[in-house]
Amino acid sequence: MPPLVQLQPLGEPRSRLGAALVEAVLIVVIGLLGVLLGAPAAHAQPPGPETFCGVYPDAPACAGGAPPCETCHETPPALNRYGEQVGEALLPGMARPLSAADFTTGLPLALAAVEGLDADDDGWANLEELLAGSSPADAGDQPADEACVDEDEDGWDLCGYDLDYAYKKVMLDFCGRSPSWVERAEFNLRGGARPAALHRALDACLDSEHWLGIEGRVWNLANSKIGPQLAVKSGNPVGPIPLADYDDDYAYFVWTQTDGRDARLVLTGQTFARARVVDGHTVYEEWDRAPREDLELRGGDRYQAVEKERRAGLLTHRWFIMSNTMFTSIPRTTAAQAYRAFLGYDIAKLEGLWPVAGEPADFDSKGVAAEACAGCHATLDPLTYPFTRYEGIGGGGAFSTPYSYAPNRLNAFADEDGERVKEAPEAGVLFGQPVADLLEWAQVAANSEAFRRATVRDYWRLLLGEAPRPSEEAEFSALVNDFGGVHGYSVERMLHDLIDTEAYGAP
Amino acid sequence: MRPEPLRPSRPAPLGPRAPRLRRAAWAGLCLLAAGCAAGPRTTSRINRVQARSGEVWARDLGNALGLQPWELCAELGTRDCVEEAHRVTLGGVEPAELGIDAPLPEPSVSAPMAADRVAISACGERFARDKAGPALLFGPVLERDSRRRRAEVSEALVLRVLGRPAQPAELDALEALYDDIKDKVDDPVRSWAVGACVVVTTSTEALFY
Repeated sequence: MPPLVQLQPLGEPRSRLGAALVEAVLIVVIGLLGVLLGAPAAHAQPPGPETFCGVYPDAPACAGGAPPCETCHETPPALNRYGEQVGEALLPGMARPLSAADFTTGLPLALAAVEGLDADDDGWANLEELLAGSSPADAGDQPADEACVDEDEDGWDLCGYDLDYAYKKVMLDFCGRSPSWVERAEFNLRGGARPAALHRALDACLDSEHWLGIEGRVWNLANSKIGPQLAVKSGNPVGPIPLADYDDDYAYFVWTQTDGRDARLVLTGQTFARARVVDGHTVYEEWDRAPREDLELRGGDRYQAVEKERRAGLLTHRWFIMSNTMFTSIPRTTAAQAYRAFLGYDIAKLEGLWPVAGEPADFDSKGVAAEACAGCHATLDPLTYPFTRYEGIGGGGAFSTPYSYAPNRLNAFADEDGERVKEAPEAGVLFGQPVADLLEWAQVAANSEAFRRATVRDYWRLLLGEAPRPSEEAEFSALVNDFGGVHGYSVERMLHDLIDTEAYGAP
Repeated sequence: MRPEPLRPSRPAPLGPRAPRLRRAAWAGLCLLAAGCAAGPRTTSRINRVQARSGEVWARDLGNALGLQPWELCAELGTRDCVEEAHRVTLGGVEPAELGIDAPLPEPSVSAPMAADRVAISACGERFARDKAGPALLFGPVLERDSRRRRAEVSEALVLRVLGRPAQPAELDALEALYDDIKDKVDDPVRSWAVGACVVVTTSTEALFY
């Protein structure tokens, strides 16, 4: 079957320093679906999810408003077995790629055509699985038996939430060890007080080194966001080419995720944090200095060079700018990484497309206005403009202080990228909303549903080993909503509710 | 306390006599798996199993065997098996030098071997220390070997490693290991003790949750 989508990837973030040519990778041709979605629209994300939930509004996968990508994809744009069946039934005989209008028109008929098929050969028809909240593409995920009866006497409640199981899992997930026989016995002796005991155990484990220590679970959750590379690390340990110290980024990330702090600070905070081990226990301490003070204290290869009033959490940390912006005028990699790491949208997978009319303007003459590129760059380029005033390693004829806010830095790139680069605005667009600069960008991002969803999803995946299943979408969406509400953006409060979900506590 | 079934992972190589011991261990494990499952069984509706990371598994192993993490296993006597030599294989990450930001999505083919090496080393170390005294785990069979004393050790093994009492069928299976090897090895007490320890510490229940 010909692909519905043809995609050439944007660069993986970790290739960034290896070639120092991320810019070239970034402006690579995106693909045919990008083309079909390239027409300006107020909200022109791929129409599949929206149409799907229009057809199946009562499907559990639609409880959060849109089904997860995994409903039809392995990893977008690659289709899973169910997605392939839908693709084959979608306007057969019509040349690919389909226009957005044809795709939207044909999808309901295609969905209906495969309802009676069984994509994963598990004995359940696709429609039965969709309505029951199991995956039609995964034979290991089947509709639950409505009359679940736990026939054996192995002690586990296989039909619902099991407190003993949840306790053991909390100890393993957060404390990094199994409960001893004595601990389990004591826990189960508590009878009706077990739920409270479970949450006390969680509180204790949230302070464990396994959870919040250096290289602990929260620390490692930031790996793909920070993309550490020892070869260019400054500080201790130091690499052969010390450019920036990612320990600042890790410490700040963990600091924002712990002790009830507002997780939005990861994008909006204007201070820093350090990790210090005291009596075998890691503590995270906030600090703040002007760039000059930090230069004098920590030296030229480590200091944070952005003035406080221009800081936006990790987005303006030295390592983030150094490793993503590098030598580029229009640092699309930086914006794409921010979008992917903190908002959960990977533009390379055609996620989170909000094309802006008139874009991409291609101020740096990279050819991104070409038909095959514009589909994604109409979103990516306006997403990027607010990052253009933060100096990377250098580039062009730049003499701005590296890693600092430099309002006129684009002037230095005229020889390299053409005169028009100087016209690139600082204002951009995020989720269809105009933003004046990176500070506004960060505010819009941090207050978005995408941020809440991405943050909760990070921890869901960390604790359950996979993205929410369609049948778990309702529980997941409730966490997402509460994270910005009763949880007050506290990760720890959210985790207390996460361990109470059936997804977490049912054996 | 509610027992949960002890499931086998796979036979564990146990050194030069591995083939015979492996067969014996496997026979015991088969008993532990299907043989223990008399009567109806309910399948998990969630069907979600996660591997303990090497770090967590080793911590459990150390707690159960009374060893510090660095005493469990060292390749070539110098490289910590869990933290260094088999770090990624056992589900760890190495972001700064290898770019491995998250545990491998599927266990590598060498993961069972790495787990075996750690368990064999740790169990052997515990036996050696118990023999030198004072004994923590294998004392009953080191004092005087007998069926009853082996059962004591088996009970202690399951309790310490899996955090629950052993089921009768599991005790029988571990005892069966002794019956199979007693005439085929030079030191049946050590071979059985280390073998039983490896069986329990590399069982599915010990490696996954």
